Amino acid sequence: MSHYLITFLSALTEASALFIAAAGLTLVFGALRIINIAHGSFYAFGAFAATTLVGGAAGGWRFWLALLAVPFAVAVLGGVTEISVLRRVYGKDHLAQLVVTYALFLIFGDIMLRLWGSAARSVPVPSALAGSITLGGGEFPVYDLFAIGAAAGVGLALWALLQRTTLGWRIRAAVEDRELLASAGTNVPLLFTTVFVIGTLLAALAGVLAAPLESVAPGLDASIIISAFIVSVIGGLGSVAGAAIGALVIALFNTVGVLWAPTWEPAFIYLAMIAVLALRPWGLLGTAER
Amino acid sequence: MSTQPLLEVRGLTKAFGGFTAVGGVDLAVRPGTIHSVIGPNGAGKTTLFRLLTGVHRPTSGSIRFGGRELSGARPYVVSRRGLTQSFQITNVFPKMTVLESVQVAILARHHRSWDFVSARQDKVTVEAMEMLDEVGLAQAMDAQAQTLSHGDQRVLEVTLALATRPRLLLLDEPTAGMSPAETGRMVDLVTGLARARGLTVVLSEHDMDIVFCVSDEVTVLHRGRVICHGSPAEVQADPQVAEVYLGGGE
Amino acid sequence: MTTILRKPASLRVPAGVIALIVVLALGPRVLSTAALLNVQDAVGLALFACATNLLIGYGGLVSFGQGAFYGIGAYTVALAWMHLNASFWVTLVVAPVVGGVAALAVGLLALRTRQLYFALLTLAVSQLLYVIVQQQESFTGGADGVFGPMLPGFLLNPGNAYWFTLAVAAIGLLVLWQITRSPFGMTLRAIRENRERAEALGVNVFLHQLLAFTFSGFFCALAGVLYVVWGQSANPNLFSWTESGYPIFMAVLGGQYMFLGPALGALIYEQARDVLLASFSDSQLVFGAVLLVIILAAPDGVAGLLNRGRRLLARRWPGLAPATSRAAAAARASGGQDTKPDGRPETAVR
Repeated sequence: MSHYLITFLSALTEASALFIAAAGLTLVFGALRIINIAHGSFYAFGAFAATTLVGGAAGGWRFWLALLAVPFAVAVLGGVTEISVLRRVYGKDHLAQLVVTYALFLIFGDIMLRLWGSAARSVPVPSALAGSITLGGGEFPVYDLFAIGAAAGVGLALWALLQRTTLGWRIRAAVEDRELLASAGTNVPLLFTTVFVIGTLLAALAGVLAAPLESVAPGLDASIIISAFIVSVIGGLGSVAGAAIGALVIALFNTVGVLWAPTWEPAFIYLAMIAVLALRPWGLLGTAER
Repeated sequence: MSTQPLLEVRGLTKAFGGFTAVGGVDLAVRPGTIHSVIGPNGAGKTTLFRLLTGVHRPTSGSIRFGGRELSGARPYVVSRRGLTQSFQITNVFPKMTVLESVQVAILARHHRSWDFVSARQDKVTVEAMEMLDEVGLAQAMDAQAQTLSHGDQRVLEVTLALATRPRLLLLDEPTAGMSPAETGRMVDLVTGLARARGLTVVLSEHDMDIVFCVSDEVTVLHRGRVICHGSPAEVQADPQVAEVYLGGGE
Repeated sequence: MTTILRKPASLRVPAGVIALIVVLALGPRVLSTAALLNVQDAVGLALFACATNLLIGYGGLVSFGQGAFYGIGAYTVALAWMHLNASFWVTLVVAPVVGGVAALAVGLLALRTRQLYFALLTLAVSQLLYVIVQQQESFTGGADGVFGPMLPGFLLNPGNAYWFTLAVAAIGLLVLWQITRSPFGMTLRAIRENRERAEALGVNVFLHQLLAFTFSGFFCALAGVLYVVWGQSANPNLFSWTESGYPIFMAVLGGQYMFLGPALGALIYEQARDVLLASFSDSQLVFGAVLLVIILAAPDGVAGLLNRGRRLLARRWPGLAPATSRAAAAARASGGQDTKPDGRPETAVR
């Protein structure tokens, strides 16, 4: 019994950072209709910045500082990027949009390489969250529980934002019914910038959160963007709730699949993504394309 | 001349969720005539046209064209059967030249769009040039479509539709946004073609002068339903039409 | 009518291409083996990029997964040698066919979705193959790839390999070029320009795009064979989505609206990469920046810029103008009106 619980909780942990990152990606896609390949770069920026800020000091207060400050710093970068580069490709053909975000991905990746080198880095778990607790007969790291809690918190905050605020209403309108948005007199460019900044913030936050859980090395941007794509597609591009479900599904796939069918396991998620795109491109909870 | 309708629509209905855009529409268009469909904004004209060309699938009802059932067929099939639309929003190939655009239409008609082994044939070029001469666009043949004036683009638009040698041409608000001079040119073009080639034309229009001057028959739509149809004189005299459309509000 | 003055479609080869052929032919005489290998690599990439551009530039389909077919081409050769001891000359013919068939299968699935989803789907297919090839070690050699004497002795000579690559790429490019200038190619462009309109004119858009996708897969796989000739190996990275990004990059850089644009992009990339690696120790930043500048400021790429430059210069020196516009200019100069064959001026229609 405890074995299943631990496995499930491990999957939840993996799903946590992934959900936060994917939520950002899916919001940007839903509202702006842009597939932002550089989203992975923002995640990696968050993780790498955390390694510098926290350094080797296992003290812990730096981690909290990183958790609070880094996402906002990266969000500023995101805003600048949106205003200076992305605004020029709205309404252009898809090739232009994909190429632009791909170019940004290349540029950011190189910058990260220069700033942080090619060696793998790590972030120690803050002392307040170190160690593990006993759960139902098994040991489970405290930090992992924190990560799960953080993801839940972010999910709640996003729900509140989308359902209870004017900004949230505007974002949902951008996702579901664009004409409504224009007729309500919204400042659309400002809205787009805001959504993009939120998306970037989420990516970087996910990166910082995940830093103590995995090794931070070049290639992080490429791997997370793939995972985030898969999650967003399955959950439905534009749906945060979908991102939550998608992240859980993928994490379960990964955790359980590794146990049952290790050689075929990585292929499953791609097959799932292909199946969804071919049969029901708007995923589980997305808006059916008009 | 056969009086069997070329296009026969019975009980055509299209509902989007709870909203009925087109409800139980009947329409009969005799070959070689110009038939206008009028109605205020939101009356369902555009939806009706989309049903006819296969962009939308009907919720119920039938569309018979040339004696064959056409409802539910995909757009390229509808086009091949001889029912072609020219679009309200100018719908051309922006970066292709005027000549190339017409060539594409002719190639499609000849089933030669699959040919990947030959260079573009002069035969198609000759036919394309003839069409461009007829509509007055020959001098612009090497110009990119997106560089043409609005009026010229509309003419190109109609030319593309004509290049498929349709039996019935649908024109959705052909003179929208045109200057009076351009409008006159378009009207002459359409009526000339209809008379000269025996083409059947169904058009939707806002400009009442054009409608009553040009049409053989008029159908009036209101909120997705047909409220009146007949000759222009009959329609103009109909009190319901006057109330709903010509005099009153929308 | 101006039709009379139009030349029948002939094989007028631009001067630039002739110059290029001459330069390439001189290769083995002037270049070291290493440099020769570089050009060989560039030529193979040129085929890859042009095959991809059939989809992007001509078809308007952004596929982020052409690496899948590139890899299939390479691995067909490698695995046929590894498991069947097949002759290279046989797999040379088989590999592109496998690529084409695979593209047909993928296309059937992927072309029914909308543009944005299409890019993601092709990316997923590419990654799927990447992952499978890595995992199925016993069959595919896993993450290390396949190494060994898979090439016939004839191709082990650098000069021979060079000529062979050049010949195969030239044939491939010639066929691709023919496809782009055919009625099919023009229809494809029309579909790119305005999909609904093409459909409304009677074109079965799905099937046309499927054929284009199949052709592209065929020639991408052929390029994969050339990769094996160059590297004498095959590795899973060929399938990854980052590899699929290269032909897109080359097409955009060189120019997606001219046939040889991507080939130019491949050549520039190849040379620039080595120079950059030497001085900067990494090239991604420059590539990203160049890509950004081009897509925002000069979307028709380097070839497009050269073309525009040529037209500008042609105002000063008319002899430089491209042949077709010279003919058109002559036509306009010789009348001012359209004339019928028998010399009577044609009155404007209505």
